[in-house]
Amino acid sequence: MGKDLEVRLNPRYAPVLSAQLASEVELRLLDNEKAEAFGSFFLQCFENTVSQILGEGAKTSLLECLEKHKGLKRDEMAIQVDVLRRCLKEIFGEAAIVLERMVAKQIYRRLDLDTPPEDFGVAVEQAEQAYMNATPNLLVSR
Amino acid sequence: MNETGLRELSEKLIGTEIKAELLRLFHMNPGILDTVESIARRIGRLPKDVDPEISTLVELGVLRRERFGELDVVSLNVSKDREVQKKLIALIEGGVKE
Repeated sequence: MGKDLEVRLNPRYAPVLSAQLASEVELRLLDNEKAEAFGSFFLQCFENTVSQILGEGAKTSLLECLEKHKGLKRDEMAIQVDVLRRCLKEIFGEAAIVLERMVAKQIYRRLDLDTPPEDFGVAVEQAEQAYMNATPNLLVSR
Repeated sequence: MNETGLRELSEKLIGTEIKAELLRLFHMNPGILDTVESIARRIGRLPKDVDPEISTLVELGVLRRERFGELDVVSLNVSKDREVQKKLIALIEGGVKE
């Protein structure tokens, strides 16, 4: 019997395997929670930027428009960045790029990162990675 | 949605990063009454880059330039800014035709 199979079948190893499995599951749960937390963080930065630049009313109307007419829910923005970008372009035209840039700058400033890359999609991806690596597990609500 | 109207207004308002930074500065500090040089310093830009952007926002009515003694100062035109915001909201919601 190969060592690997013996480890799998032998009840002697069960507690070790369970602990490993539990730890993996816990890590994945933590990753999911961190990803959700990043989603909230992204939304907060997006909302702050839009309301600071265009006003609170315009921010509310924009979020309603994105959800009602474009089908983009608030809590899905961070995972649907491409859809968000397309919607912003449809609504604001070329000025959407400026809004994206301002949102990216706010995200990077709050995460204490350097200047964001020009491409908003890449910027968000890198910010999420930095957020996932930097957020201490204890700060993620369980 | 009146897309052309909305895009034109968006372009005038936030067509450049400097304009967006100016709007954010004045919205977060509506009482600012300052020279172009000081405003440029506040947003970390050069006065020569900021001046033409301020002029565009003055043309739109959101900002105003006034002479105070020896100084040209810039401030937020609160009532006009509210008007522009209302127009923007109406355009986003699709209720206004230009």
